[in-house]
Amino acid sequence: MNFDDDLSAPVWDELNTEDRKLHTELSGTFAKLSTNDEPSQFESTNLVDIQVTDANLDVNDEPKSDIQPVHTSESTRSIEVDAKVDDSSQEEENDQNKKEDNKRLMSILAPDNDLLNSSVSSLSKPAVKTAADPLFDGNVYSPLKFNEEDILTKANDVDDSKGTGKVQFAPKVLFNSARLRRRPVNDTNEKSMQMKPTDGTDPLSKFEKLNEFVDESIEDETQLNKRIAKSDILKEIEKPLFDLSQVKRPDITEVTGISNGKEALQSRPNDENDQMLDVNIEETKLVKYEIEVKDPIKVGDLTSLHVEYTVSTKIDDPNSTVSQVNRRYTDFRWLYRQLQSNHWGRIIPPPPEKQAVGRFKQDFMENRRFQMERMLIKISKDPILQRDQDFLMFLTSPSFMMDSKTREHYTGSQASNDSNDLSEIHISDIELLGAEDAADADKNGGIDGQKNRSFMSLSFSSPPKYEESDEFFLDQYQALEILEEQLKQLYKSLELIDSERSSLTFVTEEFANSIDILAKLEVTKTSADILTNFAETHRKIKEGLERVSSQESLTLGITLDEYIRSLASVRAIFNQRAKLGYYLVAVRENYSKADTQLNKLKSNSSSSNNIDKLNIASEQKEKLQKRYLIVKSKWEQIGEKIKREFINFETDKVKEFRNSIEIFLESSIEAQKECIELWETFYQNNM
Amino acid sequence: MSSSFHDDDDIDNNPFAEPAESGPAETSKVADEPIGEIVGNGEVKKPTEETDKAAEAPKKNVLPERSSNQKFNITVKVTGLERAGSTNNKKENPTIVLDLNTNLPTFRKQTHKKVKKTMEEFQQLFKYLNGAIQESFIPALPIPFTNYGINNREDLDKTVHNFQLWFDRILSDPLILRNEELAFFIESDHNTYSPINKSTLPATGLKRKTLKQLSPPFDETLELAEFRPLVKSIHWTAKDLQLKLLRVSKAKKIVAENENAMGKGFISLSDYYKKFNDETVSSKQITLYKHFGKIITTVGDFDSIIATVDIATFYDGLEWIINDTYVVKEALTNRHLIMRELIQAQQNTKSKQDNARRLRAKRDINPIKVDEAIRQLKEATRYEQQLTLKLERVTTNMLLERKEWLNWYEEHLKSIIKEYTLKRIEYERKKLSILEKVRSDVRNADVEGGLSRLGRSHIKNKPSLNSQTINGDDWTGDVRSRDENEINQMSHTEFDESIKADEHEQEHGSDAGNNSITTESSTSSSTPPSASILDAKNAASMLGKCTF
Repeated sequence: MNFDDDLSAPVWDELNTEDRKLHTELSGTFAKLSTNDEPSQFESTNLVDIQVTDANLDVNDEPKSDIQPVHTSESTRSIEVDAKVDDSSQEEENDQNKKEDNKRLMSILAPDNDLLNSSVSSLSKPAVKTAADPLFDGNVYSPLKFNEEDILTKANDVDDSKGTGKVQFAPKVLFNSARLRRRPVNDTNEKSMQMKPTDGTDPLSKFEKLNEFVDESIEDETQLNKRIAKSDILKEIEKPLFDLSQVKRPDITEVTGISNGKEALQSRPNDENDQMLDVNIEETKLVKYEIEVKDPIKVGDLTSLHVEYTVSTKIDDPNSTVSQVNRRYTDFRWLYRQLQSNHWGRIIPPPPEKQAVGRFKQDFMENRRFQMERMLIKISKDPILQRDQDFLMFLTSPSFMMDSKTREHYTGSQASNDSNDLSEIHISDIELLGAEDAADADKNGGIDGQKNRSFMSLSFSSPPKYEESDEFFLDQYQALEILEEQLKQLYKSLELIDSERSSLTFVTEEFANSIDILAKLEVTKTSADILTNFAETHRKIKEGLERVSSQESLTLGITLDEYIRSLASVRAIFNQRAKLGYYLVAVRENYSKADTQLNKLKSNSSSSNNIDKLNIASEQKEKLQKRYLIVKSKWEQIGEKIKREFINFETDKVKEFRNSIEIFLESSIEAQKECIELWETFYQNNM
Repeated sequence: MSSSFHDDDDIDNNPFAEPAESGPAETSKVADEPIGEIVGNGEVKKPTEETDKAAEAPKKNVLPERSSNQKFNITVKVTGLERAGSTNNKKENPTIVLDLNTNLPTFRKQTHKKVKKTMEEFQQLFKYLNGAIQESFIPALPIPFTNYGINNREDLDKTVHNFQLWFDRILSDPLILRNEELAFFIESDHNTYSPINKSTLPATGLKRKTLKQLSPPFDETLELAEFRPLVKSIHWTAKDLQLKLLRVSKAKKIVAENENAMGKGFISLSDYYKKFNDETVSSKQITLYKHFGKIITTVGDFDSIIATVDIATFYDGLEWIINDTYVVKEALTNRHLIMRELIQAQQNTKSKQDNARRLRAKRDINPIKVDEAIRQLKEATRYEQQLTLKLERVTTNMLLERKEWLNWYEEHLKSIIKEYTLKRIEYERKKLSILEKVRSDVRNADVEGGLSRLGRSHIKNKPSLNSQTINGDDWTGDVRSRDENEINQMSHTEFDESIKADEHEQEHGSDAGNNSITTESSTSSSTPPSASILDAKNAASMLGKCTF
């Protein structure tokens, strides 16, 4: 299968044009980098300070921030070297995407070693941070723009080299057993071989980086905050573009910035403008998919009986990828959950509802097939979702069982723990905090459970409560629920109309038969003729009814059903925000607790014993602080995203709904005309 | 009274008026009024008629009533219907008001105006006639109420019309016409009539039931022999048809109910958008939901009306057929009973004859015994002849009535189907015009003009979205010219006001640019009250909703 082709192709193509242009800029502006970097850093620091709403976080952190900029500039330089070396390989790659994969690997070997060295020196991270910072800044201070770009491009290059270079380490550092299994499976597929090892090893390198990062993470919180905010935006944009991004995303901060440098490069202009623009740009690059869900077949024995559908895909990319795979309903649910986890704040086209009884009836299967097809088509029409790695994997992977498990594990999406309620969500710790911190948090009883764990005796106190501060969300959520309720009622009555109409057609048929019996008595010739025609007219009316019924369920019915399910999907993103908000409160509480503890220790820091404690406490505080900032930025960012998504959703849905109303109305009018005509004809001929 | 008339035109068939004949009739049960009359007429003709079976001659002689054309007539005009008293009485026992004009000597006056008769009286009369005139298929009474539901115009018109039809049928039968009971019925006071004369069926109750179980006697009149099973199956098929129609109509009503619910759903959706989403949803969109909801509700109402009309036309029509076929079938059963009796009488005569012959062969002739035997033989023979004559009369009349009945059946069936179809067309057309009214709203709700235009700005929406105009229907090549009146009837419905009332309210609220629903000046006066009704409704629906 052409798994990797379709993934990489568009991205690489874009790189071809943009990358080169930037390279020239890059070389010209290298010199400026180190000088400009520091001031920008400071500026941005101030800026972010303002943005941070919680004032208490800024306390005590000023001195540290002074050290940081120096740090970063040094590291930037060290990476510059790598990046330059990398450039050559990068360009080659751009020229010949597929053929040169091996070559690239080879050429990367050398830089990779360098990179290794540099990373050993533990300064690679700050470099990225600086790279990211200006970008963030750039929104406000236009003079700095050039530098940002340069740094970004460099960062991208570094990332590329790293990404490919990691292949070497892959066997050494296996993240989990699932990955081990995965490789052999993928070996069957030549193309996936090329890329998947990379993404398999990512977590490993991530780990390394995270470790480094954590080591030197005792830094200015504002900087951190800045970094997070910026990289998050970056990530948000990049995510959908590049399939591998998800795997790397766990290291939310620098690592994402670097590893997804390619996307950053590509989408950087969007960053400067509005993100809406980003979507527009993306739309122009929309790849055309032809997706068909067909041939439901019952599989398995009595206990594991299920229906498998054939999903055949034709992707209108340069490779014109064609694939055909078998998926069952649960897989579609998995895809929904996975996409939900991958794209916070984005409304995912929902799968059909679960139904336990009567699963193997033909019309049910047909209905479900149709709904799932709509779901896939809708996903494929979304410029961001259509590039999602998991979506593509879903469409193409021959070993879905394995792949889905692996992916699920990486992202911590718990996609297969699928509840019936489409609006229920799970916030992946990995997604939120990064793999390392997530593991740490998990060890301590989860993000929110930490406090309760450490103070077992006090666990009676109620868990922190999140109160939504933005009225938009409160209002809209309520409105959503009402709307859903109303639509559900509407759908119910439509359903009832449909079922009652089918019983009406049935009794009409019976009625016509009875008329026929009366006609067959041939009481008189004329009466028999009239009755026969009368029966015939009733039969035609019945056929008309059937047509109207199917028309209704195809237009209004399907639209309504989809509307309702998408509302659940919408509620899911609101839930995501609420959950993040809850985490935010929980983490903030933990943080302030740690802070007071630290202060307490500081006040009586006399013995050496206390110094140790102080270190531990401050470390802990740092960690929590970082976590808090991450969560906060995520929380803010998801809020923004939801607002945008929500308005789009409303307009889309309302338009769709209106269209189906029009179709419904027109078909009703036509059916009505037909009905009148039938009776008129009968009247003319017989009366 | 009877003395003044010619033999053939004798209208007096009261057995008590001819005491000489009532005496010898052995079984008083069988020898009821008609027989007395026949005896009066037929005594002289008896010998010739028994042998002569030609179709034309006996008819004239056996059925003298039918030979004199149009000599007597009654004209009845049913003018009104009154329903009074308890609900049940209103329904089951309405009072029919009628005018009557006649030249029959049995009536005291020539004209009777505003005669009031209750349904119960009619039933009495019917019961009497059915027993007294066994030669005819007495038309069954129409149903006292229609499924339009009492207390409305349609029901009144229909019931009056049905009674008119019934009178027309009854009065076209000379045998019934000449029955003096009719005069008693009309001339009795309101709600006091009960039959003056007695009428009895050949067999009633258990006896009748038992006799019905026996296989019918041989019938040489093939037409009538076949007629009974035919009528019987019409009866049962019509009953089945009624049942099916009831089911159809019930299903339609449920569909209509749900359509109403769906319409309400759309209306509340519009309320929802008005409340929460002013910015994302345009006012036209809100208008669309509201109007669409209204229209769907109205369509539901029409479906419900159609269901009712179906029942009121076809079901009620079938009801009459069912009742009538029952009467016809029972009349034919009576004939069978007479036939069976005749066979018995024939056997009796034969045994009496044998008895007399045996006596004649004997040596010692006891004159008393001989006299007795001869008297018995005579009696038996006379009774047999009586029955034969009666059967002949019944058969001849029924052959005529059969034809008439078949005609009636055909006409009636045709008329109910016609009524059904016309009503159906009327309401389906109204439904169509209602549906078309919301079209412009649907199209205007989208800036691009909806799917009908798909953003092609040069294609303007047709100014008129009505497909039913004076020139006919735009979907057919048939020329169906109508006048303005019909169009108005079609496009203005009972529900216009509720829709319009909303329109007014909505015009106050927003500037929605839909004027598709023509606001007729004639009904504008009635708008204010309906608007206030709607406000109350709105208030109720608001109360029903949770407020955040």
